[in-house]
Amino acid sequence: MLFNSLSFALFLPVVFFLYWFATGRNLKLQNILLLIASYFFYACWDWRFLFLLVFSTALDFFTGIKMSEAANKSRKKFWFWLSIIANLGFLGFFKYYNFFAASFANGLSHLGFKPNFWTLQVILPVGISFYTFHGLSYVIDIYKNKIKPDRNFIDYSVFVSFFPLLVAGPIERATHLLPQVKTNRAFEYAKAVDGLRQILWGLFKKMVIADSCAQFANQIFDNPGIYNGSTLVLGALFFTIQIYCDFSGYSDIAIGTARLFGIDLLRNFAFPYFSRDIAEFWRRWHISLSTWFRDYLYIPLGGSRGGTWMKVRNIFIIFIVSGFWHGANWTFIFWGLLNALYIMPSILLKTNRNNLNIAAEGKLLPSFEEVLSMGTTFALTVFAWIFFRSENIQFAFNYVSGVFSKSFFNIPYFKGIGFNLYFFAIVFIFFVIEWWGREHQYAIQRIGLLWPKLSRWSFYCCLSIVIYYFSVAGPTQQFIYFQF
Amino acid sequence: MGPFLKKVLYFFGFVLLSTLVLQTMLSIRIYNKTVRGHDNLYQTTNVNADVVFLGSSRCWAHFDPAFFDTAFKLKSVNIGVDGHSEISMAILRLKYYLSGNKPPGFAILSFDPLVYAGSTTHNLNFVHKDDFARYAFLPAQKNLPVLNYFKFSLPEKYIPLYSIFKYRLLKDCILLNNIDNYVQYGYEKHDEFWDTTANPVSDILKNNFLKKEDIPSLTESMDDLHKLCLKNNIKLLCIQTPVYKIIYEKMVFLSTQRICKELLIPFVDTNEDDIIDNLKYFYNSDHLNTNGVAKMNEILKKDSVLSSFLNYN
Repeated sequence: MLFNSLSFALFLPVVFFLYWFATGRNLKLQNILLLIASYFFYACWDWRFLFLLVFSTALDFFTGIKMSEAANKSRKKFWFWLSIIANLGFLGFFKYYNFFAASFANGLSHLGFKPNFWTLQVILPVGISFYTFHGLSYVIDIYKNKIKPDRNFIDYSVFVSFFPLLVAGPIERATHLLPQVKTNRAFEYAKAVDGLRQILWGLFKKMVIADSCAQFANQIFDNPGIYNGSTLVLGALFFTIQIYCDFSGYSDIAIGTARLFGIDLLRNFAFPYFSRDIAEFWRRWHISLSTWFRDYLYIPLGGSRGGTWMKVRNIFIIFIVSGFWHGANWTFIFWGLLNALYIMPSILLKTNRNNLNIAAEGKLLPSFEEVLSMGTTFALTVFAWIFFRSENIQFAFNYVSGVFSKSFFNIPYFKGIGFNLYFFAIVFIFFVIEWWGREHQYAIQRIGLLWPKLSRWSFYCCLSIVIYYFSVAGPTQQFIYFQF
Repeated sequence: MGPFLKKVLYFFGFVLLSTLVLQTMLSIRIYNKTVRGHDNLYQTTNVNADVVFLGSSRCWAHFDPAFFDTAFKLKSVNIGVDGHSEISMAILRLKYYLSGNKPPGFAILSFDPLVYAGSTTHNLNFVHKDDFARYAFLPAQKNLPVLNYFKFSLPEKYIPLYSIFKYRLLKDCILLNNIDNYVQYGYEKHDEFWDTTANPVSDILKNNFLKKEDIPSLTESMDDLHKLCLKNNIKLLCIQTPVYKIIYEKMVFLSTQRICKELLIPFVDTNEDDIIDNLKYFYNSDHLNTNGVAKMNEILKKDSVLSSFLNYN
């Protein structure tokens, strides 16, 4: 059940009405309803993996209790590692088994051996990377005595499986979401309206911008050999816009949906393409994952404490692991490595915290210097996305060599990929709105606060009709992050 | 909660109303105008012609109403449907014409081995469905048979803007700059010569020719068309228009003539060597250009079967 599908458009109002009306606003009943709805939502993809989700949830729930009841440290450690190994074991099997088997076999064949490893036809359960990380953060926090284990299985299950975040995040923390699950929730008019507005913006990003860009990007990435350098740049640009609008659009819908149920989720994107350096980009891109790695990997490894060498090592580890989290492919690892290299100068020169606020804060337009730094950061990001999008490393290098060829100076092949000026205008207006609303949680939140009712409603109506047009006439693509 | 639900309802009402207003504005804009050039249903009401031409693209690229007007002094109209070589579509199109006009004296069907029976109830041929999508929303009673033939869905018929969006007609409906040759001349006029580099000479079209096993069903549907004509006092004639020699197979082309003979339908074959051997008369293997149409018209003008059929002289 996709967020941009008719089935979700029916599912959401039904759950919303049951949640606020049929449960009599009884917290226990509301949570049971949320859990049933979440499991139904998940089962719509593949009911078989529901067992894995329930098992993983139960394992973390019980090991959490066992850890807190452990008589001594070694017992506590045992339960902790049992949970960690089981969680990572599932993730490793479903997501990485074939990658390791194939890579190992490939490595041995280079040494002259002829290994015969089995690769399995493993289907990746949707959202496994996300709900595993929910569970891991819970178990680690209990182990470090940051939180006490939850003793209500329903509440804990809602924390892991709450349907808006179940398949592609934001990756929640027990410290943030569990208290909300356990507290009575009152319906707030402003919050619900804000949620609907954010859903509308998310749908616009996904269905209008991302899916159309995907169409163009796919055409170019499917046959890079036939396009000139400038068209290949255009392909990378389309993918850059696609991945942002796809993932941040998804996050907007998830956050907005949760708000309809009185729950606030973590922010996941904060206008990353307006970043002035790579460090700022990573504070604004997939925030819930970046902070997860910061808190559960970077800091335990020593973080920025210790010498320069230690810092450099930790940065490389965190970015490579982050790349690998996205998928079992060398392209993701290379993408992580590239970002580690990008961020390194600012780490070494200690300028990584120079740009903590949004660009041109309180101003209409950025300074020349800001434009230059934003442009440079954006260009570096576009380059890195080529590796992220490529099927394999060889493909990526061929694509890059295609870009940096003589044909780079030729006119891009717009017509051949069906690109037209109307779509260009829509993308341009989109970025103008994003820039205009960059000091808010999401771009059009500002409209809700500033515009008079008639203009506001007319704007929402226009957005709805444009979404309607693209949902009927345009191509529909799977959310990119579902594969992770 | 009450105010929230009320506002949500109001908002959806506002969006629905806006789409209705937009749909109405677009419907007014395209009323009695062509959107894509082929959506010609609206053009054939109150024409009351003496001759109607039926068939597929080969009909409306070959039969020039102006020629029949001058050569035979008969008012004629071309109601060929692009991409639809089945008789079932010709029947549907003729019925539609009859619903808005006096029955013509004559019907001329473009009939050749590229034609097949088809079915109005089990139609699988949705070629150029988009051309008819402009008629889909809240369909007029007379448009229903055509819309049902293309199996337009309920949302396409009853949700404002849905069919215009789905078949990507919005830009064309707003700009209305797709007035093609058909609208200007009453048939599809092609001045260009065959670009054999872009579109090489090939006999691939032979694969679509009538097969032996198709003859009974084709005969049956031709009989249906003939009966419809007789019922409305329309005299039916079939004309086999020229194809380039590479796809001309005499035996296959004779089979359509035999069907007509069996049903007592007069038949004219214009596949004469002067035309079919000469590349300059075609813009592809089965469509004549303006020179070819002029050449074919010379043949038609001299043809005794056609002249006696149209009671000329």
